[in-house]
Amino acid sequence: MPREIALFGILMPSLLLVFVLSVALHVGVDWLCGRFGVYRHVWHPALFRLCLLVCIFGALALMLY
Amino acid sequence: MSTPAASIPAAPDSTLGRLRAVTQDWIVNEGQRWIFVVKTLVAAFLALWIAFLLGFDSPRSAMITVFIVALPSSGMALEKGVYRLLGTLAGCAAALAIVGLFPQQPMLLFLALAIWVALCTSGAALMRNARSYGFVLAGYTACMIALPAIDMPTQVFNLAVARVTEISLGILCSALLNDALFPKHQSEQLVQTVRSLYSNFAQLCHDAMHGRLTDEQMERLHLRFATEVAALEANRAAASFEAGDVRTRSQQLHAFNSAAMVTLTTFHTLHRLMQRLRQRGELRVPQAMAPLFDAFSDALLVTDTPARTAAEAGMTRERLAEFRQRLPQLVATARRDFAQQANSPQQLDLDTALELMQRLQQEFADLIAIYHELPGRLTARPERGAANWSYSPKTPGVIALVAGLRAAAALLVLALAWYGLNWPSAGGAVILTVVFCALASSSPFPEQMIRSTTEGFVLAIPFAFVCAFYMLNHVEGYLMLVLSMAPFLAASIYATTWRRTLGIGTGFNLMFAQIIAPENMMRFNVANFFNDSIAQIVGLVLAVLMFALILPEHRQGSRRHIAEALWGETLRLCFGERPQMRQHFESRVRDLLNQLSMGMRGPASAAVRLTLNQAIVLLELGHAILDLRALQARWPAAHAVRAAQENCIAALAAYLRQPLPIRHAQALAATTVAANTLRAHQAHGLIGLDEAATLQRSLTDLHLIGASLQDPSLQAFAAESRITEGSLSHAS
Repeated sequence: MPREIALFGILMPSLLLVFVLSVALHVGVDWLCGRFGVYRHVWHPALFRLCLLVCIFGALALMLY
Repeated sequence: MSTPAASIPAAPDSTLGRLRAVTQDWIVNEGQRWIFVVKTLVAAFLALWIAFLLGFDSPRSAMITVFIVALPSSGMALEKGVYRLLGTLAGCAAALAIVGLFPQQPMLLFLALAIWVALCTSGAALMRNARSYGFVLAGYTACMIALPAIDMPTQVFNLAVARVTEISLGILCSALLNDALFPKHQSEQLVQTVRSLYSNFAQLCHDAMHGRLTDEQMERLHLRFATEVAALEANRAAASFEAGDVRTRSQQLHAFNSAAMVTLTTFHTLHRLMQRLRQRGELRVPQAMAPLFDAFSDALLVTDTPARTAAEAGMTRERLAEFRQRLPQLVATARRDFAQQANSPQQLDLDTALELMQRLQQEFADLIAIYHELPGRLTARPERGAANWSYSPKTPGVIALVAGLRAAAALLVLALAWYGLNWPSAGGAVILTVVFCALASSSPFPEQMIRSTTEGFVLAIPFAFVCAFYMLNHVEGYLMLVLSMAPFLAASIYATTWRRTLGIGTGFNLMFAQIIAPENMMRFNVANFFNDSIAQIVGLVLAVLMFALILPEHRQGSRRHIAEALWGETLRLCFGERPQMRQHFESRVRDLLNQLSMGMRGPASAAVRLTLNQAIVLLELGHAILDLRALQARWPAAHAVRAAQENCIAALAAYLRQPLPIRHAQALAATTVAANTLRAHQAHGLIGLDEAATLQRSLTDLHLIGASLQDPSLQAFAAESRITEGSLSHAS
């Protein structure tokens, strides 16, 4: 995986793209969690959601590097 | 939420007990404020530190973003952050396009920018919710990037990238701290709003049915109801950004909101009918209705107040179901009592009142069912699906358009002046004027808003001077920088937690970070410092001037525009074809009422009360028109009854389009003709049971239309608009 990707002639850090992708994924997962009431069984929903984002981003980034 | 009073120990006279009570009180009130201060400070310095570490061009933008996004609840902060990010992205794209199109022609560039700013500001003024902030951002971000790029068009891309990076850094830091550290949940606020909306509403019905409310109180309650409906929607939008299940409950909350609006209108129509009869001294119908009112208002109470929670609403639901079973019997009794002493004109009033009572009972049962099911499991949720209209604020188009034009004019005039003046800091003034022309366009009192910010700005200059030239020049290392800046910022962030000093505190924060401009290599330049601070103040003063000079009457909450919009909305009901017209109409009228109450300071003036009364009468009229139109579709095309009703609606539409006395008389006559036709048809007796019911209901609607048309407040509007037209023709 290259460190930077050229997008329409603009060099972008590929981690940024991964981050955007993981945010998009996270929105979906977050919606599902809300829909099925996962947050009601969690002590600190906001922290849980943040950790989800970190996990998704970490997993994707590790897979690519 | 835990109530502080409940946790006070039993012996309040002992010193220890009192101390504990005081401490608890402090934690509940002041503690929350200081948590907010600490959260905002940490987020701001975290953003600044990362910006230093990564070597950004202007680290202060990240810090300023944190101050802008700092809002008391995490839902609101996230919402504002997301829209700020989206707005910045849109603005950057626009700036790149505009500079790319006109790299060498400043005049064309200014023109293109002005058009973009006008579009964005109009959008912002139109919406008046968190989304409008995104529009504001899109407008002024384009200016921020394109204006400095006039001299160096090749740098525009770097400017845009830097801006987006700084803003997103600020938003990320603020979101992290706000959401993860002692979050204050918007969803709790939302629950409170729903509860108070329902219990105020039920209390209103109860009190009015017992005749405890004067007309003036009723008007005030109407305005408050409109405000609560708007607050519910705003809270819902913010809470849906938090982790939780508010998002999936949006449909239910929309349904609750629109059910409450529809029910209030039905209730009010009934109430007004009774009031009109009482004023005319005809007490027979109110007396006949009294047992129904008593039974209904008793059913609303749980012990001696209305249901305070969704759980208690279950009890109300059962009692309403009981009432529903008793209703046919009560109706029959009322009719029988009335028939013993009847005279025919009042028969129609009684029929109308009974019809409305049945509708009210049905709608209230729907409302309470939605309320009761709100906290339930989502799997048990009935699919109401697309059957709901969501409330969304919308300003009358003219006002939004003028707001856009004002911002564009400000930009053009100032940019040309800047181009001619050759003052290096004037760019900052131009941008700030545009920012505040856009930001204040959704406020009914723009001057006041800008003035308090200006006070904050002015106040910040001496403190920033001391901090920059007596403290920061001795500083070594980041910790020392934090220590020297934090005390000033802590005080001003604390000021933002009080409603009265909110504007001043925010202004102070922004100005302080802006003119100190912390950077890796600090530059201490007194001339620049004063140039910049004067430019910022000049920018704000110019923004106030713009509001005072360019069409000052066209602002949010302007009574004349609201009244016109009300008539327009009602007119649309006469020929519009769209699903959920009723809910749409309801939410539009409530939104306009909310704007009316936003634009009020102190008690309502006579003119405002007149507009409010018109709104209420038009609500009644609109509902009757919609019902009549729905009923009229049941008759075959060329039927005499249908033709009469169509004529009546056409006459009403003509009157609503142009409220002249002659049109008013025509509409009233058409209503009478239609009612007579219907009664003649009824007298034939050759109709089925269904048709008889339809006829009866249509007659009720026609009766309501006639009663609304005779309301004095409608004629007052006609007189008022004639005066305006007269003065216009004099002027021309």
